[in-house]
Amino acid sequence: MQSATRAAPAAPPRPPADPVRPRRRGRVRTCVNIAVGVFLAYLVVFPLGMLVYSSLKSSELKLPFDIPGFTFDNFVKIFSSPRVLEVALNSAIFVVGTVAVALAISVSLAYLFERTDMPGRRVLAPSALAPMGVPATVMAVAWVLAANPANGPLALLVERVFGLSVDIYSLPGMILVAGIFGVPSMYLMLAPTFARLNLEFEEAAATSGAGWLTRTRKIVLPLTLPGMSAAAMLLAVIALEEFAIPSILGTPHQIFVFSSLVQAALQPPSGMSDYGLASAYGVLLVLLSLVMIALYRRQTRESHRFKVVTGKGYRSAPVRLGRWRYPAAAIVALYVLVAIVVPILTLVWTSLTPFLQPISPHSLGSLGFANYGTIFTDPNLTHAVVNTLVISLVTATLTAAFGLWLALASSRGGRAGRALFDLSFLVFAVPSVVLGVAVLFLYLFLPIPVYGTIWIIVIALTTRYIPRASRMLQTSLLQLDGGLEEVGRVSGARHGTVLRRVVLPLVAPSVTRTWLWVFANALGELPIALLLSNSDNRTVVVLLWDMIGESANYPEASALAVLLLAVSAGSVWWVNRRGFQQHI
Amino acid sequence: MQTTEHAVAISGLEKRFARKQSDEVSLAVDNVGFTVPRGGFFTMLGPSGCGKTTTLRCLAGLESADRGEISMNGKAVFSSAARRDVAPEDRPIAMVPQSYGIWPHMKVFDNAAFPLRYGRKTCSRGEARTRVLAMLEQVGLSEYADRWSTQLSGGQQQRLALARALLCEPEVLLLDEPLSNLDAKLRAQLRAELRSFQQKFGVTTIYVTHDQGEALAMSDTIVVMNRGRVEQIGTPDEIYDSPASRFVADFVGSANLVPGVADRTPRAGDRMVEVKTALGVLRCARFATPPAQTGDVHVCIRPEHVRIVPATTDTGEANRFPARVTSTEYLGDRREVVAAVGDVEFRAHADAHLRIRPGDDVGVVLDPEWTVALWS
Amino acid sequence: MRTRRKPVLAALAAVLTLLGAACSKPPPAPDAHNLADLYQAAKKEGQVIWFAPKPEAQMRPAIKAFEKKYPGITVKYTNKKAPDLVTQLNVEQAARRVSFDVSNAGGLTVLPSVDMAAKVDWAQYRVPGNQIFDGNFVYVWAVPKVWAYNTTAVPAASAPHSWNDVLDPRWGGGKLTIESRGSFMTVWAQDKALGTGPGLAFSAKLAKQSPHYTDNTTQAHTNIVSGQTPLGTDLINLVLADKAKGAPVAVAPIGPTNANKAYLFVPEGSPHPAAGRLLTAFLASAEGQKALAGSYNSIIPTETDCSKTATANRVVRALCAAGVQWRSETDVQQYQRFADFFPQVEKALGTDVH
Repeated sequence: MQSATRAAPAAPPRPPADPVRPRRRGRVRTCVNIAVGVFLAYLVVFPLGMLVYSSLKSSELKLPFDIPGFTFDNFVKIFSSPRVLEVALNSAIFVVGTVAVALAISVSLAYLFERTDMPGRRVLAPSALAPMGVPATVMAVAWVLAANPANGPLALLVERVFGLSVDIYSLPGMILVAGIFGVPSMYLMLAPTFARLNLEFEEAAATSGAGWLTRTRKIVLPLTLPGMSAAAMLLAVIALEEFAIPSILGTPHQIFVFSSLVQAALQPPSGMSDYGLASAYGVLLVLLSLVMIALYRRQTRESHRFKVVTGKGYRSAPVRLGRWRYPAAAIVALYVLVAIVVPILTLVWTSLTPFLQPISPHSLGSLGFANYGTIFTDPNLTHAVVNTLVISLVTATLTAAFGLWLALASSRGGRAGRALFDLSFLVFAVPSVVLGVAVLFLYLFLPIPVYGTIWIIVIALTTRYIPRASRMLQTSLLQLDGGLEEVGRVSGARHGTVLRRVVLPLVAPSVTRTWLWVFANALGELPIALLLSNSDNRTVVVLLWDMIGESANYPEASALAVLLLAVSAGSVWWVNRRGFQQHI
Repeated sequence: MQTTEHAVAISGLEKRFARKQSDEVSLAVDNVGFTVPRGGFFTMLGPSGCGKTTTLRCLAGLESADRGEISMNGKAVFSSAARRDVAPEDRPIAMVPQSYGIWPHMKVFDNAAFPLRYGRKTCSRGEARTRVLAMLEQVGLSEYADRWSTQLSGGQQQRLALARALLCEPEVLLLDEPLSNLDAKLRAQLRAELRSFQQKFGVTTIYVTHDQGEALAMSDTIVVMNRGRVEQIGTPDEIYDSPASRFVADFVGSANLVPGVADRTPRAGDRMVEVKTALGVLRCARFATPPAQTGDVHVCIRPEHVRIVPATTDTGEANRFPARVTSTEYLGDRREVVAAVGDVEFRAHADAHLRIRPGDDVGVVLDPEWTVALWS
Repeated sequence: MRTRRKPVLAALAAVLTLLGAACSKPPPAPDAHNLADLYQAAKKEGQVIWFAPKPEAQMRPAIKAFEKKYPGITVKYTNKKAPDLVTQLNVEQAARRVSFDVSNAGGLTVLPSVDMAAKVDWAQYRVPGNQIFDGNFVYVWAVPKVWAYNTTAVPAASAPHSWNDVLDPRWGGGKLTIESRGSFMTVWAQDKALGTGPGLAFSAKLAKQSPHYTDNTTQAHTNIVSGQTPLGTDLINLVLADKAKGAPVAVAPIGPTNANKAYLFVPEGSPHPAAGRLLTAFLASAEGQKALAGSYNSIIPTETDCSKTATANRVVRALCAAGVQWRSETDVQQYQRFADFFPQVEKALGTDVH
């Protein structure tokens, strides 16, 4: 009876404490990974280096590299500006407000579309996303036409019905428009999180007596927090650097935000861009993004807590709304009507008019398709459409691929992977146009023959979108239980097979969404396309900008915008059919 | 010694984890070693964080240990001395992880067929189909083959995970708390099923659990782990009846523990050791051999071996002490009594219909045959 | 994974060394002293790349006319905003990779362009002397800044007639749309009778009207056309183009104003120097001007001139009909005055960002 063995069988003499060498088969993979890593580092590091370099050159009227020595003059100039406090406050209000509006709307939409049995989801969900590929400039113009206090039908309607006079040319107006503009991107990031949320978590809370509100607040929100904070961060940066909306809606009453400063630096009264100053703003944004990385990492540090996709029984039966089904649908429909349909209708209306005019029954007679005729006979259009499609498709594909690689590297690539992932975040905050300048400088001087071709735009856009795409994908990877992969390997499948058969199919919906997001954004991205445009690589948005910016030909511009909208809506619809109907 | 009669042999296994914040290195697995005979059902039991799952993951190749040797069927799959670390896919194993790892993007059939399509031993489509369907039949899931795996209930998912693991034709089956996510009733049912599958397929099984009931009911051998170390290895009854340490006594079943001092080193051949405690001298027929030395010991006795006797009768029995009832609890099949001897409280399982009330004076008898002296 | 750092450093070093080596020699200036020789040289080049801040549709008649007159040379036109254009040229010249042959300068971009223009003796290519500016620039069209009003909102009779009329309280509270960079004030720095001091005082009073500011004149124009604001700063060619389509917009009789001259020049180091010269010379010629005038882009007299010959031009006719006097720039020093004046105007208006 006294046979119980107390200790382990005597261990052999302890071997040297060397770490065990990596497995041999992994070495080819390691080489490939290093190559991709180096390439990504190259994409990211060079523009950043250019940015820092230029920011230390006081280069008003000159180019950064024409100036010897380094100086902090640009930073001194920024912080000694009398408007700095006002602008900081406005920017803070604008960014926080925009994120709050977009978050509130997109969380509600994601919850209603993905988690509930609300009627009409199939129609409402894609329509909420449809305007994703339309540039902010165009949307801002559409909002001005639809809701300006003088003759915007929306503002007049509100005034007549509620007796309120709303002024879109105000900070709240900017916040509302920018918030609504941010909804599609944000929704796209949040939808998977909500779609995959295990109903059992909610049920568990329900059975412990928590009401819907408590349940949502205590269970659903915390579980979706990493997804939400990632999305909020994305939008915060977009809001910070977005200049079309503040410029169109803020300038009338001289409401300046951070991006106005960047814009003023690039187009000062002296006529020539002050790259040094613009770069200094870029550096400040990069620093700000470092703070955000820290916050984000703090939040997702215990990422295992947020693994809502496990290999364990989860069913995503929709939450029953009961008697709230139709009211909820009505509210969402109203949102879609006001926020999506009315601006789009305004665009369509404008595209049919001979000259810019507010929507009114009196001018119905003058409508026609002349503008469409003009743009379709424009010999440049075909070329621009081809350019646009190639740029958008290639950028979306490259970005999704690199983004996935980077997201995988961040969760599975050890310290180097995480470092690279964080590094990529630094370009995330660089304003589009400043990044464009860095890329421009770089390829003007490098003997790589991309300057003036569509490929320089592809490179710049890919660099720009990689951090966003990789974060969108990382949130979905964070939610994947590692056990799903491990069990594949233990079943005898090789790394590659597990990646192909298990990981990729599981993240496929997210990859599709990311691809769509990049595609739509590349379609509508203006500052980079404009800056890098040359005679051979002009895109549809650049043509659009020509019409808006130089000839004030809003009707033709609207016709082109309607075309862009059609492409964007079409791709949303296509991805919706393929990607969103997942069995998960 | 790695002879082929052992399906698995581990020795000197060590796994460090560096904690980022404090910069201190902690040992998740500390010098663990054991052998598992072919066809045996071997259980690693311990509280969460004891290193059992880490050990299992080292066995699976999902983690690389820092030191030690692991061999399966006499072949080394891990050896820090030889710098050998065979990839999980090249080890003759299968695993059911705690979360089951059922892939939500595949149908039930595809989940089960994965090992036959992409695993170590692949086979033709036709054969795979036959074998998968046969296996699903075995686990009672044949009618679900074309469903999405997410439509299965918890118990069905567990069976699917097991079916998939068995289709790997493993020499060693690794199970990581596969029952922990199920409700109690289902757990009892699946526990029996699991054991019968294991016996039917005769596959060597290493099972990780923190549930002592599961461990006792299913295992041929149990290893109790604590803080990365092996506390005791033995058959279920050895573990329960002769715990080797206070930790094992306390973790497996419930135990009354009384501190004391052994002032005489028992000689070889002694049947009893005597321990001086606050109650008086306790005689213990069970003790780890050889008792290390004199000094502080704990005496352990299970509640079912504590007899409550009337206070008046004094038969001069060994380990008998006067006591006062503190509380009693009627549990239907028995009555749980807490009786205090001086400051020391004992829990005892008494006859359900024993008529005592708190405050009654009684006697407690600690059966020396079942009293264990513990040096650690 | 620590090995990853080394390749990065290596790549960095490699790229840095290549940075310096990326220079190629631009083609030399053509050895042609008359138009015929220039055409022959240009034909060898085959194409000409032209950047200007005008929509391509407006330039298309002129391009067609050029390609018809000089077969064998194709024109590639790109619309680029003036500041972007000058910046791009600056960057490209620094990298010695100039990608276009004909560039544009006007207003604030004139001074930065002075050093970037190739030295050309335009007279030998028959560019009229009054169109040659500062030696290397060729004056091709004027962009008169005007005040415009929406005719639906403002009857012609009650339209303001002078700069001071704009300060009338009835234009207060967002009724005025004003380009915020101050270029509409150019004439105050140009006309001795007005002067920069009074100009700044005017700007300060204008700011009190709490106008509806826009980033540029184009946006101000759209506000007037769409009826959002009844009165504002505008450009005459935008007004005339929309008026022709039936839009309710008209030039307000407020003068004097600045008729901003736009120049073309051939950048130093351009890829098709002969073709660039040929196109510029063509656009300055009577034929080129005729084609350009269709889209209200043509030269006008430097000072107000409502004579019969001058009013053959539609822009001049419109200015004269509205009774607006204008002044164009006469020497390059004026641009420096403007560059000093605009930031002050921004300050007075309160639209300075920094």
